[in-house]
Amino acid sequence: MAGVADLKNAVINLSVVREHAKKELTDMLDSVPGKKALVLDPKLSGPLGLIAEVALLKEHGVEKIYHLLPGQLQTECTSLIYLVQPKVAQMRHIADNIHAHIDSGQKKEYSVFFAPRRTMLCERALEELGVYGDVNIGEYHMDLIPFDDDVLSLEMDSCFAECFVDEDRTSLFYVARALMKLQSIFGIIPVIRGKGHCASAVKDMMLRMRREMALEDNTVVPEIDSLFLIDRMTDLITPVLTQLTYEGLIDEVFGIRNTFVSLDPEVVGSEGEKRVKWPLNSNDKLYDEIRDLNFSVLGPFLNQRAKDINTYYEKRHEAQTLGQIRDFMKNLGSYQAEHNSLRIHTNIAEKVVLATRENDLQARLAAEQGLLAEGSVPVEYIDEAIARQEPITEVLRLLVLCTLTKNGFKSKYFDYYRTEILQTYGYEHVATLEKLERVGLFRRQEGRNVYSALRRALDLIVEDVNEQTPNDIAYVYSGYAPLSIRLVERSGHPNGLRSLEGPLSALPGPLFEEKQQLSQGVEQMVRDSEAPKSRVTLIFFIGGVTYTELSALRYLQQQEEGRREFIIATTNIINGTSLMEQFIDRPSEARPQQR
Amino acid sequence: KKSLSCLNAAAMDLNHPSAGWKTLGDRWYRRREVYHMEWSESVYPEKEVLVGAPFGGPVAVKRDESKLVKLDVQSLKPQIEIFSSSGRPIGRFPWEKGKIVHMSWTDREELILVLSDGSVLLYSLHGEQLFQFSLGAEATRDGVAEAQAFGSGLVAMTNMLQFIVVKNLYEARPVVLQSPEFSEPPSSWTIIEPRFTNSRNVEVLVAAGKTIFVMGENCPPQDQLLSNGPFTRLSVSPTGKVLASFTGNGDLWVVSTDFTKNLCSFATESSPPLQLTWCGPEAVVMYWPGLLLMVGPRGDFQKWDTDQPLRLIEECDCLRILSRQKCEILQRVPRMTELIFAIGSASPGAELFFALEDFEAKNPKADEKIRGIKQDLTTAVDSCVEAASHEFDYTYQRSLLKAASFGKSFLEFYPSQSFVKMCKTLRVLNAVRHHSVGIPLTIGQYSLLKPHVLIDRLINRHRHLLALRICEYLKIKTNRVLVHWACTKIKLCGSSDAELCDLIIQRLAPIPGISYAEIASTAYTFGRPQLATRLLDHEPRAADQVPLLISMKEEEAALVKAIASGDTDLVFLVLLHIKRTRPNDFFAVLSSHPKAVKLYISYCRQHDTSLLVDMYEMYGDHKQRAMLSLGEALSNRSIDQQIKKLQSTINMFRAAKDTFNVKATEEQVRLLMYQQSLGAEFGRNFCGMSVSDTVYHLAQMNQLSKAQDVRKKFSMRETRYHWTVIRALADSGAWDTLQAFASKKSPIGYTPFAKVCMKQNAPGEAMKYIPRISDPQEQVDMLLKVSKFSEAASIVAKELKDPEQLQHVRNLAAKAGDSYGVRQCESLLAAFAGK
Repeated sequence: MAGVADLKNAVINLSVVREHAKKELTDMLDSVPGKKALVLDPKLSGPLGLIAEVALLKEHGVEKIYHLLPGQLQTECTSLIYLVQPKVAQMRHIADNIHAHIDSGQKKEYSVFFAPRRTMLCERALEELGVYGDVNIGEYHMDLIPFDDDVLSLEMDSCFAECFVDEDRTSLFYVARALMKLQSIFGIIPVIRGKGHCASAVKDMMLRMRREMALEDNTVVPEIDSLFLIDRMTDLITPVLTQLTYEGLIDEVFGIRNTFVSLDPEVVGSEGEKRVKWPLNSNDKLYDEIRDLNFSVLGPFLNQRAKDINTYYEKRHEAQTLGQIRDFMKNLGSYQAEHNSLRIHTNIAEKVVLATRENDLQARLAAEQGLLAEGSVPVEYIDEAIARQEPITEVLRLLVLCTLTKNGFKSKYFDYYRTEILQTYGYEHVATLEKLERVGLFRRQEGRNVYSALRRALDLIVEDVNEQTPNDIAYVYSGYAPLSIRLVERSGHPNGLRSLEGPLSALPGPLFEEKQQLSQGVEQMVRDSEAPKSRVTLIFFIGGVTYTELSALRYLQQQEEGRREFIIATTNIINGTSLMEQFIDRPSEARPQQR
Repeated sequence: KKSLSCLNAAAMDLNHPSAGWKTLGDRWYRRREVYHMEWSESVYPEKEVLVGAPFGGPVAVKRDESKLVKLDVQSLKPQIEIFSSSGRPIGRFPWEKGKIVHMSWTDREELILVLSDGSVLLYSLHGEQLFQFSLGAEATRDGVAEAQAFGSGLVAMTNMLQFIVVKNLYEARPVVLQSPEFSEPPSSWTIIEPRFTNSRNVEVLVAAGKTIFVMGENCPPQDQLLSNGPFTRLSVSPTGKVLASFTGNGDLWVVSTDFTKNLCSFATESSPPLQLTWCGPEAVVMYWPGLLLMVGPRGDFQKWDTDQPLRLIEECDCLRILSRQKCEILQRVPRMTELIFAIGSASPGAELFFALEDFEAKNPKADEKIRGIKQDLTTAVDSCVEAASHEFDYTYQRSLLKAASFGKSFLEFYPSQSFVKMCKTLRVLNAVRHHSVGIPLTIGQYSLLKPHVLIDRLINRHRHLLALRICEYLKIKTNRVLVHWACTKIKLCGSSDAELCDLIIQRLAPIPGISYAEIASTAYTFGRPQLATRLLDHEPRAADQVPLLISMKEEEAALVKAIASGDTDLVFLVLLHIKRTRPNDFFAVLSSHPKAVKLYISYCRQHDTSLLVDMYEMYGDHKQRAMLSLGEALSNRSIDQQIKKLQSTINMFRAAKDTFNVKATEEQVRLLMYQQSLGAEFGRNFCGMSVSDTVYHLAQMNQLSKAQDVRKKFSMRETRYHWTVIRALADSGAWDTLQAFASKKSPIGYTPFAKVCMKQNAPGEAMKYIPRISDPQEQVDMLLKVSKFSEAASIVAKELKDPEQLQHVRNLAAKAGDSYGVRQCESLLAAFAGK
């Protein structure tokens, strides 16, 4: 599929997961006979693109694809398939569509498929809206979508706010179900570890679902050795920091959506005005090498590559014998591909440099690093950021970082910043600030400083970090080791989990380890298979993961030299900005009218 | 020539397997007794209505009211009795509900009774009434004359000659078919099952006058324009492709069901037979008292005289013949059986079979025979295995399998899985064919039926132990059997709740994931709510448990289970149910489950914020109440309304003791009012802007004194005010105003001035402020941003005295191609080095 990771190098066969999803999608389409239009929840169209391309949909009778919007839907198709998240708002849109058709005397067939599942609430909503009788209801179990050889995502955008702010834990149920599906494909995972309330809730649900489904009959030899569930509440410092890896910075500057980044056409060397959706995954060999680099070493790296390629091209003149020419030609394709990729990434990197210069990244980093080292609040920097009216999300990131590292603000400062935010960005942010306060991300000082203890216990600040040839995961943040990844690293040590108990006790939720009994048959098979395999750990981030954390995990994996491999699953991929967005209600753009 | 000896031997042997085979053209047919009927003392097929279900299914018997019967005391009360195929009683029930016009079986082996008043009743094998429904207004008004059922549907004909179709008995929606105006009742009619038709709907063939009409749902009746009627009997073949009919002048006429192919015509010169049926897809069998006549596809025929009254039950691959004494099967001799047992057969299978006989008789010819078929030994073994599968008789099964096994021993490689599988299948078949069970399945029927359906049928007959054994033997999940067993126990057993519960749990506990919901539901229906609750505690699946608890009015328990499952949809299910059925208790129940409260709040937020108000007020959550009110206020498009709403929000914040937000909201009200007056003054809408934005816009409009007024009125921080103004001025390119603004003392210094100019890409403007920057390092940074290298260099040299940075400036200058700058840097560097 164009632009989608081919998953050839995954340690476990993730393409099965994609095939499952694809099969279920085509089954869904086939269940409605004849030609039809697909009406997509806008939130689902990106993820769906990673499962199937338009041609496949066409093959299965889809003539037109629309986004689900309120109001009317003008279409000539007489059979419509709605594929939506089970949200009541979407039901209202569907009802709008149907009523409009009925009012204008158009007769159509409607099927509504819910992803990841149908809910009684939505069905009741359809009933109350008076269209329940007009639609056929189905389910599309869209769960984890493979992003790359080692990454899967549920693409649930607002998971963090739902789980931790509103305490509506519906998404945790979907997380547990997705993990059950993985277990049905890759075998029961013998050990489940984790930290946090939500992580623990997911674990409980998994155990419960196993009882419910009676997976004892599962005869698959486990391909995944252990599961580590990380609750985003455990580490909120990491996501609010400015990312410094290449991939992380692309996400900060341009925003990566479903593994694609939207770029100006000249960056990728294409004609025309329209922005280009450019895939970022390991199919691009060069990108695979550079995505995890600290941005400060990217320039020299790309330079070296350019030289290598040049050297190769020069060889063309030296090639004398047929054999030499053949050798040259054999590699030409891959060099040309790399050359092309190099050109594009040089362009992207230049854009990133421009953007960071414009936003004065250096000053921002200084502020962040100061806080991480437990310096004082960078009042001047924050004041100026507010005065310059930088995006509110960027200001909030800093305020959250202050709260988390300094254990909150003194009352005076707390009120001061609240006033500043309201006066600058508008009174409506009373709600934003209240939510942040509720979760403890922006608050007054109270209790003891958790960060201080953690920093020492987990060596979060690494003084002599080397970005060129990394010597610690801290290379990703030029000196700060992401707490979440430190946990993963330490939990892999002998007796690791126990040693974490003390330091982590100050963070919310339990730290746990749960063994899952395998069925006897499977135990036997495990014993019989002698081949020493590398251990595969599945790490699940509940509430989102950043690209930088992925990079740090890949670094960890390299350190393991094949003894341990990581597969990373997440509810969604986040960065500080998108995390803050989840706290901001943007009900309507319109301002009130004056008489 | 070789087999001449066995030919002779066989011909003389009356016990030979081929004894009694009869030909029909080039095919052989055999009629074998499978059971001696256990009902021989009580059932009179000639006097009673007797219907049997296919796949060796049960037989229902009802006294035929149209015939005169000598009543004995036993049968004084009309009743319906149900027997197994071997005549063993299974169930019975008295019949007092009216005139039955049709009786037959569904494919779940449930008895359908269609009454003349248009009602349809379904009964279990054991005579329990399962449910009933009506065929609709037409049927009730006109009365039903006849009916025919198929699989899980039926077609009925009213007295007004209308046809009513019910596709699915379990969700009965009677549909009246469009039919022609029949002047008199049809001489006969039949149906083609949906699985055989193109439309996948049932089709009805109605013989009227000399022709046949084909009728179906959503299509007008089609007259087939025949002229050889009237047809007094019609019967569709088991494959649905061919129709057998009996005409008024005594002919059997066979035609394809689309009436395009005339297949066979056979004159009997008789009155219509009692029954016209098919024996497999190729032969038609007619029954007159005393005579059974079979006609083959090419008009070949075969007949049997019979002194006993018979009842024929059509199977997909054979014909079951019931009489008072016997249950027989008439079938075409399977190909493999024919190859082995036909007189004079020299097929490899036959050779192998007789080689074993010789071997057992210690006859050296055995060796000769084996060598003779060495090439075809695999085929020979295969055919013995297959032939064994078609036998009902253990002796033949055994000797054929023995022969196969004997042949196998001469083969180096023979895939034994198929052999083992067949042995297993035969064991299962023999078990269910046993007299005590009475399901005479052929191997062909078994493979169509599938093992799990057979298991269902066994448990419906309450043969749980046998079903369980078969499951274990075939490695099928035993869950269904055990659940059904437990339900049956509850229905039939009088023991105490505790005893029953223990018994069931003990038996079911070792099975992982077994569902208790259905069992609990049965207990509840049978008036044992406590048992139901106890059992339900063991149900692992919340999705099954919760709805049942709700229907048992155990809402609180349901809520606890739903919350524990983590499935929020289930929690909503319970909550909304309680809210609907017990509105007065709702909040009390909800309050005792904090997790449910959170969920309900998020539900209210999506659905109905008015409910939220109640919630917050109930729980005294003034803060959230205020937040809600704030949201409502802000979504208000009318400014006056918004102010009004905000004012009431202030009170809520006050109640929440949130002094900060009280103040913030008061400020906001003040701001809105101020903005209103600004709007009136400038004819522009300021409402809803933040303080900074208001200043920004005023600055852009060159209303600096107004902006200053805002700053004072809303105590805006001085530095932010300055930043905002200069941003506004730079953004709108008001350079002169900016310069004028800079003439006053700036509390933020002059770096921001340079920055806002640079943001607009105006280095010339920026240069106006850079010299005024007081911090030398900042000054250098800004100079570098506007590419003034030599100026930067001199400051680095004079003020910062930093050769390293000077080197850095030099490199930047070189990169930018500023040779003058480079030279300046170098001379300054030299000066350093000289020191």
